[in-house]
Amino acid sequence: MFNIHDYPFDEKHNYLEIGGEAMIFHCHHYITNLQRTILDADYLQSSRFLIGSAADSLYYQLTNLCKGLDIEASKEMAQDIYKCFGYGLIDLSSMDEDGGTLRTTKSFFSKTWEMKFGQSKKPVDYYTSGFLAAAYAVIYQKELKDIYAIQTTCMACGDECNTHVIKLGERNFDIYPPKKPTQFKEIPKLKIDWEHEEKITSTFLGAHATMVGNEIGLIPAFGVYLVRNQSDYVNRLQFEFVNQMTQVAGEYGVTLAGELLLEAGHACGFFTYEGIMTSPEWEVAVKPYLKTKEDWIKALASLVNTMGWGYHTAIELSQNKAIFRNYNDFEDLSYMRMYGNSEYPVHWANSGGFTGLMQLVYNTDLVHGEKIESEEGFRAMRRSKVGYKTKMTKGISCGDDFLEVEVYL
Amino acid sequence: MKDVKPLFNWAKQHGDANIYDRILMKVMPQLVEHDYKLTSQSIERSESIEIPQALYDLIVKKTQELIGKSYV
Repeated sequence: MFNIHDYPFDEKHNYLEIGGEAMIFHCHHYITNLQRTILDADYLQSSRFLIGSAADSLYYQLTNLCKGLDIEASKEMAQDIYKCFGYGLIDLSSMDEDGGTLRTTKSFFSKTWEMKFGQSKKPVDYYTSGFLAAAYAVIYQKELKDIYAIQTTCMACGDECNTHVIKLGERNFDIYPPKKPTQFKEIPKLKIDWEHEEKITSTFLGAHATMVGNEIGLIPAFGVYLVRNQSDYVNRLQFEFVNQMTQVAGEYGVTLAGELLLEAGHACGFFTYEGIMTSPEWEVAVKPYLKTKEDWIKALASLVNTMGWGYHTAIELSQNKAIFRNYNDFEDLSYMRMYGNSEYPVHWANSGGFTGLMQLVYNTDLVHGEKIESEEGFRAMRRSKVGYKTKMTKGISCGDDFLEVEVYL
Repeated sequence: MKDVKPLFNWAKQHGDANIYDRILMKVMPQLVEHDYKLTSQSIERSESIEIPQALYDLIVKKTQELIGKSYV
């Protein structure tokens, strides 16, 4: 029923929208790191926004995608996108007017949490609880505010399956005001200063549509597991976390939360970009054009500009210092849809990703084929090498025309 | 008062790259309560960090939980 090819990639804005929701890929390193950061602050009631962020995005998306469909077709649509986007498998056939108790043994969140961190003491698939709350609301025409959604067993805790209970009751997650439409910054882009940019970009344009869930609803690619996130879901996690940390500790809370969010982006950039730059596709289609380390970074930017994260470019680039830009980056667009303007830059994932890329190209032997694949290898590298610093200098939500970040030794 | 810097040194040897920040996040309400605004940078720069015993004990407990090892 759902077909990713029905949703054209917006080449002008390096953007993809499905059912009214902006969509972006993230890898399991980023998602699990982000969620662990949030859960570390165990004095927050974070389950409310971990579930609520998913429920909100999915409610809008499924409302659009299920328009005109009957109950059975709507269930099929919800199951299809869950699988296609890489969250695993979910069977909604037992859901009825009263909700239901739903079980699955295929879950991106539970599988990758255990892979990365080992067993968890508490269930970790908050996304699916939010997803199911939204599916129930849309399919049975309930209001999100009247729904109770909870995960009661989790494979990441050693259980045989994940169990989610969805029913009418006292709501246990946050709901949010309506969002604004996406507002792009329509300004001329400073292109990547590299003669092969267009060749690389055109080679990979459309490749995103090949990255869909396999028979168990997962997207293994480039040595990581990818998920196609509703951008506002995953970004709201960051923004709500920072908002709550502000309430706990003011500016100090923002600073510390920001450091941890940057680290999540760093891990993402490091592992995913490493996977891309050591892939067979890179070897064949990109590597012949690479002469310098700077070429590696420019080629990577040319490639990822086909993935829906905005338009990445480098203004200044050397081993000691780089200034990166992103036009219409996914975090700022998301922030403005949900919250309006910000007093400080909010593009931690983008900026951490740029930092991870610098670390990867200049502080490892990746360009000579040496990979760091293990968690311990990553930790050892981060401890032993001179680390790059990250300074987020401009953001669209702050009133600037683009995201800009300095990465320097 | 007790010097918590040796604990941070131990955590750096055994924990994640961002272990300082993770520890600070765990005890942020208590840090704020005692008016400490430690950061990774300030920890790196300091030779010693004297804090009240109760706060020290809490940081040891949370650090051990994060790293999964006992600090001796």
